[in-house]
Amino acid sequence: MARNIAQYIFYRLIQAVLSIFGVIVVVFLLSRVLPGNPAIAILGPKATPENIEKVTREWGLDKSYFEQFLIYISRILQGDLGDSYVMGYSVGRLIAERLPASIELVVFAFVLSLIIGIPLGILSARKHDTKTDLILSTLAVMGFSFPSLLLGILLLIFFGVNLGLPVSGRIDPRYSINVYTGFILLDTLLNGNINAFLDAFSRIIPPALTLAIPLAGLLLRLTRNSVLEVMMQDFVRTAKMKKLPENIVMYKHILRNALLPIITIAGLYFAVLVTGDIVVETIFAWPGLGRLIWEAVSLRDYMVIQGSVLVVSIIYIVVNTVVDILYMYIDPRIRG
Amino acid sequence: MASSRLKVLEEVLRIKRVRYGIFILLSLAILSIFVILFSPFEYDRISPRVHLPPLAGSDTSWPHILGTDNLGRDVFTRTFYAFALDLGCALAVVILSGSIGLAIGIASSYLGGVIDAVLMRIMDIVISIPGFMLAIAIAAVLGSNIFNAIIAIAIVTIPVYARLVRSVVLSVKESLFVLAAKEAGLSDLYIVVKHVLPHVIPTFITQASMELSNAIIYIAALSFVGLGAQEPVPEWGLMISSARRYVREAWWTAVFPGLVMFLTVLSFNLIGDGLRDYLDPKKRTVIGVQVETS
Amino acid sequence: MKPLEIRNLTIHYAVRGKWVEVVSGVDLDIDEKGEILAVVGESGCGKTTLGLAIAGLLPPNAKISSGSIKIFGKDVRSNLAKVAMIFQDALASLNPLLTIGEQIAEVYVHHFSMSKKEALEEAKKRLVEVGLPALYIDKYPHELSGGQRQRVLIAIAIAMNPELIVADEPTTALDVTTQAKVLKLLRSIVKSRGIPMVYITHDLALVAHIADKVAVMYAGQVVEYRDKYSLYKEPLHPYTQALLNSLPRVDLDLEELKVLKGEPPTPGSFPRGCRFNPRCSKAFSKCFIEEPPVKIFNNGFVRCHLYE
Repeated sequence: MARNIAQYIFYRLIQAVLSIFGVIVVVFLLSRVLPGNPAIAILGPKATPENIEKVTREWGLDKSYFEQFLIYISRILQGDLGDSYVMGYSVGRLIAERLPASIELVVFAFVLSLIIGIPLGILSARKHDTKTDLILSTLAVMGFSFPSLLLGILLLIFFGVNLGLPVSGRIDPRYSINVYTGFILLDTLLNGNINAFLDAFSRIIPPALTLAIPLAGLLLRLTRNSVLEVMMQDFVRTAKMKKLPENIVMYKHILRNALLPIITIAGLYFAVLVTGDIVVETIFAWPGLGRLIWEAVSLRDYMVIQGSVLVVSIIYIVVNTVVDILYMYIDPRIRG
Repeated sequence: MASSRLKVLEEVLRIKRVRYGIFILLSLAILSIFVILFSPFEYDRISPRVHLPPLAGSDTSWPHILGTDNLGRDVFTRTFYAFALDLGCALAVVILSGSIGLAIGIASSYLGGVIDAVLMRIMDIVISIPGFMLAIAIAAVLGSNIFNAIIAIAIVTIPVYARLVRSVVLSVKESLFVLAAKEAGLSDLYIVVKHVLPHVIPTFITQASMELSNAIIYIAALSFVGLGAQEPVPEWGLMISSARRYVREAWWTAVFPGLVMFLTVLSFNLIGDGLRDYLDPKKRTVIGVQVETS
Repeated sequence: MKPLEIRNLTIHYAVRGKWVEVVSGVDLDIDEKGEILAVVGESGCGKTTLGLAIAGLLPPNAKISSGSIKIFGKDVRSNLAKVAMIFQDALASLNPLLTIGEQIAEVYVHHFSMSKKEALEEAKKRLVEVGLPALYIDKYPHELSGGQRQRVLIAIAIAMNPELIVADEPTTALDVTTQAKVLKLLRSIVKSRGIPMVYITHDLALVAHIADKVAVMYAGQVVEYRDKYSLYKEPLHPYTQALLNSLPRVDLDLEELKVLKGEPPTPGSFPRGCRFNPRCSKAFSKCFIEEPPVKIFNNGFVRCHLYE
């Protein structure tokens, strides 16, 4: 049995590595598909003859594609994503600076969606085929259909105009906080500055809600269907036969089985969050990776775009792999 | 044959969700046609009457039903021109990616072997990049206009169809009637068209309807970021992007395009949902938005 | 007080908005502790529904429209009686994510207020009692064979310390050898602990090995109720006779199996008069008009016009 798990983990890791390699290839190919001189695309407005020469040497643009690829991948493996001539920093540094903000937002939004979506989904299942169920299911579809474009604007107006709360940035710049983790919510608490924490909290809610609502809608539906399906299974009847208390039947027997398949598609949630994140960060001026991409697009900074796509993809692959492996531990049927 | 298809259509139309979806869609479509044919304002007609609130008067007999934007253009007109545009582009995306995905899926599963392995590897790699990111990367490379946006999104969605089609074909491939047909000496193409495709089509259509709403969101998002439609093209994402700065003074310039977009997406989701329930009312998978029970 | 007393029990199921009668006016008794009553019949005769009703596990779309089920004098609907049920599909009836030890121990934790540790110890004892090694405590349902899983269900049932056990075709899905073993185990446990049992099956041959009393069901009704020996020696109801005749016999030189032709009626569309009349070789005019009365003997009863 142990050998089985180890084998599976090994196989899965190989898969992940291959996927990452594939992504690097794709991103590389994309960058060389540009009509015209890639150097000019990289440099943008800074395309002076000296710079062009410099970049050409740096990336081997005068060599064969294969050699270019080797240069490219060897730099990637060393963690060097190139330099953004347009923005004036190395791509790696830009991304590293912005990543914590995005992670904080996305994780916060994900937790929010879990808190909203799953309990409502359970409620909907318990009361299935009643009015409550119908209302909740309709809300779920509507929530899921809300493009983050619209929802973001609406929440921006609601929180910013109607409630008069600050809606841009992570925190009032007048607060000075020592950075420990890079996550402002934690850092403000670690600094002991409650006012700053409240300020940061109020600023993260609108963008997080925008991201969370569609996902919550999806989770509501999935949870509802999964719970309903499990409720009809025989072992639930056995639990009732044993005359176990209701909450034990619900949590130990029904939910444990119902929530399991929902975990397996964590990758899907991540993709949904990523798609919404760029728009949300732009609307709320959230200084994360999404906003960076938006800035890079408006500045035609392809190096940054390329690097960001690479980084996000790798995170995506890692998340999926971790979830798959974790799932193996949770479901005894796969283990044995 | 024709009557059984009509029967299916009849039954599908009976599903509440499908009805609501079609109702919303048709209403919007009718409004859109009306606007395109009869609106006294051109979608790109700039005027000095900037940021007028909804129902403000204009210099024609018609008021600005939804107000004007930062360039004095009528929001109502632009929103519903955008409906036609976004829908058209979404259809283009679905047709493009659907047909290529279908071809790849069938070829891969039917021919099997090395071709299957290679094609599926490529599909897997494309899928391991979050869709929107890849679309941005491709659109950035191709250049910022709406056609490239369509191509970018289509490329990103092809694997979805390919995998779906492939799994259906694989499950049908080994079934008795296909093997019997092969024995009878019927050509592969014939078998595919007559025996395999009918199984693929229902799932395919359901997926396509969900993908339509996805495509609209992607087009709008790409345009919002700057990579799709460019001014003065009336496109929801673009409109919201321009309106973002003025949200405090002129919220209607951003909200209404978004609202109509929401309704459109909602209607497609409802239809796709209802279709899926009809096709597999007892299907017990919970995975993803694609296949669910009710 | 009798372990089981069923009087005039009628159960309806809601099917597409209408109530359909599935069990009609059933009277059955178990007179002593440790007695095994077999309920035999074809699929759809209502025996499983009867079993679920006795165990208090009728689904929400079913209702007891009239009559009563009393376990040691306690009405089943009051939920005071402790009835355990053993189901047919053991794999589906066990939670795939919990060890079998946990699933047995649950009963002790929640009914006997034991700590988890104590409960697991008791669970081990139950495993041994049903013929499984104690170390199976940590195994998951999918790791066991069909027969082993069935034993686990039995272990769970006895862990509850029930006043009555309902077994719904527990051996149907097993191969013949395993079937015999599980049957033997069940019988010995029930007898040694003095627990009355209702054993539901479609297999009349199997009944001979386990039952003390037999009730034959057809189309929602009990058509014959006798003690085992009388039933096999001298079956009264034509349906019982037909069932016995259709069993393969090694000791007789038969040319072909005498199969009972036709299908049982679906609930909701019972024929007029005796429900068995379409398939009865001994039916006469009265059988098509009037419902047959119940004729009581000293060792049971039969529901047939032939014995009026």
